[in-house]
Amino acid sequence: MNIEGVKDKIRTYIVNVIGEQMAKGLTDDSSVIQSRLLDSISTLQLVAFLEEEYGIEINAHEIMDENFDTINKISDFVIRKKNG
Amino acid sequence: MSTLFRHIFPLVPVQSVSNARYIPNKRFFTAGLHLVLCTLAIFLLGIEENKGFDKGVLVLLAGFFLYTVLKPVYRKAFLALIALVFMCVVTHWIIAAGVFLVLMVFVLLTFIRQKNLLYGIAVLMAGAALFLFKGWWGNAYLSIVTGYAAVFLMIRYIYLLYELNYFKTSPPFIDRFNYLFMIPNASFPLFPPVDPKIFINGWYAAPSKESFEQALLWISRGILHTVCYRILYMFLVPSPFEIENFWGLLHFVLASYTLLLRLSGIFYISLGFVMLFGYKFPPTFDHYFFANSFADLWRRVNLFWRDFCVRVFYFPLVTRMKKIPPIQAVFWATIGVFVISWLLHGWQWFWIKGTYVFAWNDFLFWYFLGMAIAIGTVLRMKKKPMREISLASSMVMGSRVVLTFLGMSLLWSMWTAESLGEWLYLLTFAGKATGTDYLIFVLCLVSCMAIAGGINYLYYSKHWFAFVFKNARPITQMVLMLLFVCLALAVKTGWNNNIAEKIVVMQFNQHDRTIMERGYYEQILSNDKQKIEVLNLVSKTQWNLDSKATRKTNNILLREFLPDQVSTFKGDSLTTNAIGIRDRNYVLPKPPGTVRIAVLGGSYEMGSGVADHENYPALLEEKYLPGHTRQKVEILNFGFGGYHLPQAVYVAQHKLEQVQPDYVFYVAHSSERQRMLENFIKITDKKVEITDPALLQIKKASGITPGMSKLEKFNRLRPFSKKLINWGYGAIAQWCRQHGVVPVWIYLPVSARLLTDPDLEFCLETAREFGFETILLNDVYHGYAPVDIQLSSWDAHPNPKGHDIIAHKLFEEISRKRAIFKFLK
Repeated sequence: MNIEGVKDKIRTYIVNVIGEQMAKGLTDDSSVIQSRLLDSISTLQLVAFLEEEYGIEINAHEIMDENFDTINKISDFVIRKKNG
Repeated sequence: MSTLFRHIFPLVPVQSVSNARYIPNKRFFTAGLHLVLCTLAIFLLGIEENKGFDKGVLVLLAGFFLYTVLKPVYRKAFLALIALVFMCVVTHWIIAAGVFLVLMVFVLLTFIRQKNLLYGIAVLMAGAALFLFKGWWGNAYLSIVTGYAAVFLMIRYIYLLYELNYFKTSPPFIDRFNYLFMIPNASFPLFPPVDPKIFINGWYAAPSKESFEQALLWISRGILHTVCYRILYMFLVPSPFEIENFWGLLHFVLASYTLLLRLSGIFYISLGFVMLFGYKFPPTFDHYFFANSFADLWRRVNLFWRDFCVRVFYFPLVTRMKKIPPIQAVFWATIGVFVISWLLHGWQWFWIKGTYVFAWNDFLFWYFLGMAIAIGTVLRMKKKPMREISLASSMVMGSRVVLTFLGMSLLWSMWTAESLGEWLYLLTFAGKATGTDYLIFVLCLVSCMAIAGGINYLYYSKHWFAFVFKNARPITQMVLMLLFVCLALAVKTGWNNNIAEKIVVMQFNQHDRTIMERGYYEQILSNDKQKIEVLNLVSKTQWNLDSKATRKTNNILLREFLPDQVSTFKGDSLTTNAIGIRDRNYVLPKPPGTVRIAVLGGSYEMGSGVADHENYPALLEEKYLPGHTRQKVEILNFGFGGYHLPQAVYVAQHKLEQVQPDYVFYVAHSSERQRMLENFIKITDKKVEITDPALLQIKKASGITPGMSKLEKFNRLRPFSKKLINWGYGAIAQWCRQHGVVPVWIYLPVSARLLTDPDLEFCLETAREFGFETILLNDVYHGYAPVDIQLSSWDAHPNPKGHDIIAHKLFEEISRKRAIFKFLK
């Protein structure tokens, strides 16, 4: 699985959720959770999207800043989960 | 042994070591100056001084500068020491030592890595703490220590136990301990539930200057919020008793919600001080008055609480409901979170106030808020995000912001009302509005929506506008802090300015002051239980009127002193004489040649918070009159906390004859009519026997019934306030005439700086009409800062110096009226 492809999909998804206006200046290292760009609902929707898109199962305790705060962290997490 | 050492002095990652450096350059010194200014502002403004923070902040300042020069490996242990010293300063070393030991035990328990066992222990300990706190073991020390330990543990222990299961590497003892024993929690019973992972993993994760500057930003913001809160509280929030129409209701509802500033103020200050020591947190509030829906508000207010609920309850709930449609899962999980929030808020208040009482307004607040947010969240899931900001979309957004503010204000006023009945009664004023009122209201609403929409448009479309809002520069904040420091210094060195004093010295507003005085010996405990219990422990005295020294009565006195009692009250001696007044014994019958003055009054006259011979009637008798009189003058103090005109009449009619007074001093205070009404409501609430036909007639004519809210009773009685004053003054004057006694009416303001009193003129005229000699002491406090002459910022009763000033002033006024007070030389 190509990490850049994962990042692209996640980025597109996040921009769709928060809107282009809010996504201005968003980079792969920008905080999306701690900066409150994504709230709990948006995070849950992102989790559902990742589960469906990559066939992985994400547990409640894994939904945290360490795994979900930036596009880089999310894509690393998805790759880790996918690889088992 | 080395394992134990590593748990207390854990290895510091290389990156954190480099981040932990404080380079003594210009930037560091500027930030240091900023910190000193903030500390001075907190100290001089007395922020949270009733919780000892004004003193504790000096420990934090000194501790921080020592902390910066220590090697990083020793800093976490040193932080624990600072927290301990801080707690010793804000409470007492006995309390701090007890809490320290309790927390050590709780931290050790976290090393038992069986999840279920840990939850079991938490529940067990909570149960034991409940048992202790309620005083069922009867040990005051254990009760206080448990109360304080609960402040540290009640929410964060749950959070820590949950998160410990998911740390990559087990955190050392010192991290767990510092997390629980978080500075400056001892001064802030309401403390945001910090995420343990952010706390433990975030220590010097960023360069020290970042967390240092962020800390200063938050502390300054907290101070600013606190000052704004004081201004709103003292000048803009009306008493519910002042509401007479629709506009009064609207004013009350909108102003009440703005008091949320106090919460954000103390959260910013408390978290700012934690961040000083190398920690870094995400924002805890986010422009909450600009929320555009209830769901949006949930994302802006008390975000640490929201994150705690989301992490520990919401995500697990939603992920366990995968079998039902996502929208339903989100809806029910949101409702679940609000039920838990409601229960946990009750849990917190139980610990802080010592009691838990189910209140409908509290339940309904969480119910409506939960439903509004759950529905809003579900609707949001179906909605596409806004693509571009246009003027039209901004107007819609502005309207939503205004309506959310209005809706939340309404909910907030319900939550903070004394009862649901009172709030529902308040709403009846909305029905009394005329068509013109409604039209003006709608026009105002539309104007506010347009302004909010315009601001929203400018914020997102004009960079210069957003820049002004987003970039609060440190220099601006430093100037602001300097301004606060100068203001506080000016007031404390004698600048007489009513507005400045109310900002600098936190006091109760007129409404809360009345509440405090109305039933102060009951209310005071609920207002500051921790402080009082500590004082009780340390001084081994009682802060409430000892039940042994007083008794309930079945008449309109409601309560009275028992004769010949030796007790303590607010840390000072309280002795009653043979006839049951707080005074020395007097010979009965009155010896020939002796002049007697009987003083009728309340807590001010009784000397609430001062020793037996420090109240002003005693000082007048013992300090100022001797050497200036032809005869022996005795002043008998019939004052009792909570007494007002009805009790004064009762005392005159039933207790004065035996002491044969020559003069009766009736002491009236500020807002005499309002106090009179509140006192009358208290009498009718207690269902004691009312024998006076005039009072019975007023009760009947007003139509007050037991089921009514206090506010409704007040408003029904309001038209009778003059009649009640006439009755009371008339009754005292009549008794005096019948017994050949000179009635004297004295006016003594309750606040060190009350510029106007709407009741003064009427009461003065009435007293004169009934033949009272009158003495006005309205400028008695002139030239003194309130903080110097009252018990504390949270108790406006005069301290010994205050009583001395009153006694001296009263002596001067009496000396001017030698024709009346013929006993004077």
